Amino acid sequence: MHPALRLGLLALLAACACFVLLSACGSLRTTKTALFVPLPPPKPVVREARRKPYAPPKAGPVVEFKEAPAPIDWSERAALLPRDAVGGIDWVTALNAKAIEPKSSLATDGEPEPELDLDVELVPQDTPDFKVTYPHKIHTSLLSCASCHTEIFQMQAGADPITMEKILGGEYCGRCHGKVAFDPTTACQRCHKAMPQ
Amino acid sequence: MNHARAPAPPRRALSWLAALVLVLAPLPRAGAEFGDILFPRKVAGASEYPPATFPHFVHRMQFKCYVCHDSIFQMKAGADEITMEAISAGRFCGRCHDGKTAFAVTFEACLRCHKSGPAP
Repeated sequence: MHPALRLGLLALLAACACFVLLSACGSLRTTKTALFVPLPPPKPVVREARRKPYAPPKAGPVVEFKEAPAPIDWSERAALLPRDAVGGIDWVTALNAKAIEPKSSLATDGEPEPELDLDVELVPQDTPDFKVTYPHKIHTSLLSCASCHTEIFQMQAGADPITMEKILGGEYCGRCHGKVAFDPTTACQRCHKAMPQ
Repeated sequence: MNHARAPAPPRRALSWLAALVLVLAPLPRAGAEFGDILFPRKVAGASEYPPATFPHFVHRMQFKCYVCHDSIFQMKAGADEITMEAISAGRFCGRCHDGKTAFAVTFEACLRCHKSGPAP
């Protein structure tokens, strides 16, 4: 073969290859469809949203915040109560004036214990001026019968040898008076009513 | 560098302060009343935790004597073996101090009973 013809054929072959290559990669659909398998129409790409669309949060249950009540200042309340001669709380006056209304039971429907309105006169044989009038009423409004009888006092009036020495030593009346009830050394006339000041 | 020294407080003021402390020291603690009971601690740790003071007056303003005596407490102070375990189990103070009738025994309430300072 003539070398020039061979060169021409080669150039023609190269031009054809270039045309096929360019038409396959290019955007000429007509050329493509003519030369290759017709392409299916491109499907639309549907992607799920990576983040859910914003929605305001749901309202939760409403919790009411209750502030704890401030502790009662009992000293402040006690300052309003009547006082005796030495500055202690006069519980008898406070109770009679209804400045305090102590409950009779831990239960709300508890019945109060019975009160006994009985004054007992205790007269020393040699010193009748030191007569003591013991009021059961105020004592039974706070205490039950079993609180004193018969561990501290016998039922029979005058059966116990009560003396001031024993009381100040913590026996008989001194079981409460001087500890939680008024001190006997500070208020003679509260028991010995006829005693001179 | 020269540091100016603060003037020393006058001696008269100091002596007045000492006199005031001496006068006020024997006064009972605020809120104390006749009839309060101090329960000395019997177990270790008394130094870091003050003993409990029972204010009789607070309770007398609300309850009659026979509500507690003798069904909950014996009359004689110290006769009952009162422990925090017993109180937490609902005995003694725990009969009322449960958060319903009276304030509960919680760590927030320790100092309401275990007060520092001497009892009157």
